[in-house]
Amino acid sequence: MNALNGRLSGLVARVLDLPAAEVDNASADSTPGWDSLAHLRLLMAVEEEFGVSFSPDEIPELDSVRRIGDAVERLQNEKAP
Amino acid sequence: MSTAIREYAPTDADELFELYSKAFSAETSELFRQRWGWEFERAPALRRFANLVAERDHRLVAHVGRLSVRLAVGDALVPAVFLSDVMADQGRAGLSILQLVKKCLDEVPVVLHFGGQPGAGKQIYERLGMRTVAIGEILLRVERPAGPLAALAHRRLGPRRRRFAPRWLFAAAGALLAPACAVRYRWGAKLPTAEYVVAPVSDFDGRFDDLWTAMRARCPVMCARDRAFLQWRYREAPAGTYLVLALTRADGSIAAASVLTEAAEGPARLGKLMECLYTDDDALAAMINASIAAFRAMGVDMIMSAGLSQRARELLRAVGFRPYRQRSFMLKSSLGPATEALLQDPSCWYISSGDGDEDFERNVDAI
Repeated sequence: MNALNGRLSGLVARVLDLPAAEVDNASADSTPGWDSLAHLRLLMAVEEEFGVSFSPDEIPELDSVRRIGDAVERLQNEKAP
Repeated sequence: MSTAIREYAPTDADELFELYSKAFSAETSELFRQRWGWEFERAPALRRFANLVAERDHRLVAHVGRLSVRLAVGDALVPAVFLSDVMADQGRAGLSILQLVKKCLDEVPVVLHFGGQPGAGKQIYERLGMRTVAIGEILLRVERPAGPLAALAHRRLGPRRRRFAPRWLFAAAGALLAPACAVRYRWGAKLPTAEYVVAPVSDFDGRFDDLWTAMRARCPVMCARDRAFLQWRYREAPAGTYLVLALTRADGSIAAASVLTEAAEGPARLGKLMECLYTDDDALAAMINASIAAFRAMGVDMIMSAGLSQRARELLRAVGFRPYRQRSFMLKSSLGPATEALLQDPSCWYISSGDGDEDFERNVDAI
């Protein structure tokens, strides 16, 4: 697990109130309580934590921890000089 | 267990109204069923966008209504929708509300929405790209202070203790407040105008198309207010009683028209100025005078307007209407930059309680 994934997992566990063991494979379809409002709360927390900004188009697509991690990595790479 | 977003089909009806029933109540579900066809299938439209549902595990878990309208933007008339009846089965809906609204924003050139009160709901719309336009100012003029006092007390007391505060209990306090209200709300004030003939109208004839053309020249952004819309909205609605006043010139043409209705606000009677359409400022002033006189004849306790044109709000304030609150209004368009500039300019807009499903709660109460 790299540093980004570790930080992301901790954040997801805190925001969605999930046990750490369930975080890495968590997705909106499989996680009770991951609804539209929780999704926005999570993405806003991720944006703040990692200093990135998701576009309106991709917001509904980021429906799993894996996808969110990939998007954060991509946005950070785009920002890097 | 993935979520599928698709258009509503008639075979979804029973399951959908069960969803309404869960989200609101069984009685409300039946009322929605009654207005469904009128609102979503018969509203005049350039292009009709079907409502959307989210299906999960072969069950409907969320719904968004798309009330199709014709939006005038400058010289063009474009298809648009008002989002309405946005609801989800809590605990099962997943991301379906986000997905439903996103699909709607992708498919429709202009999406409009009344609501989006501060908080989580508004955040969803904002993060999906919708923007607030400050055109929903609500103005209020108190006519009989006992009414709003009783309404306020009822709201504070809650359903169980309301019976201990009948309206007559507030008559003395209302009388004491009357002199202050007379000053604050400018009772008796009239806007100076020329003479017109004012009369109630039972149906909308071709002269209303001319009025809509004149109104459109003054407010370049507004949902169609032609004869077809007015007839559908105020004469074919499944519930609600509307008084239509027309101001005619000597040649028989209509210089202005307003639509009035009345609603219960607890024990108080609230007059709602639904529409105020006009050809020029003088006719607008005369229409406002006539509408206030009609509301007073109806015996309402207060008069409220939501939106209307910027000029109408200026004149309403001049006769004692006071800002009450702002009705949140949001939109997103995929039209060009010139159109976008018009849409974002509040001074270009005419919008009213007759738009979207702003007044439908009242209709539901009345069914």
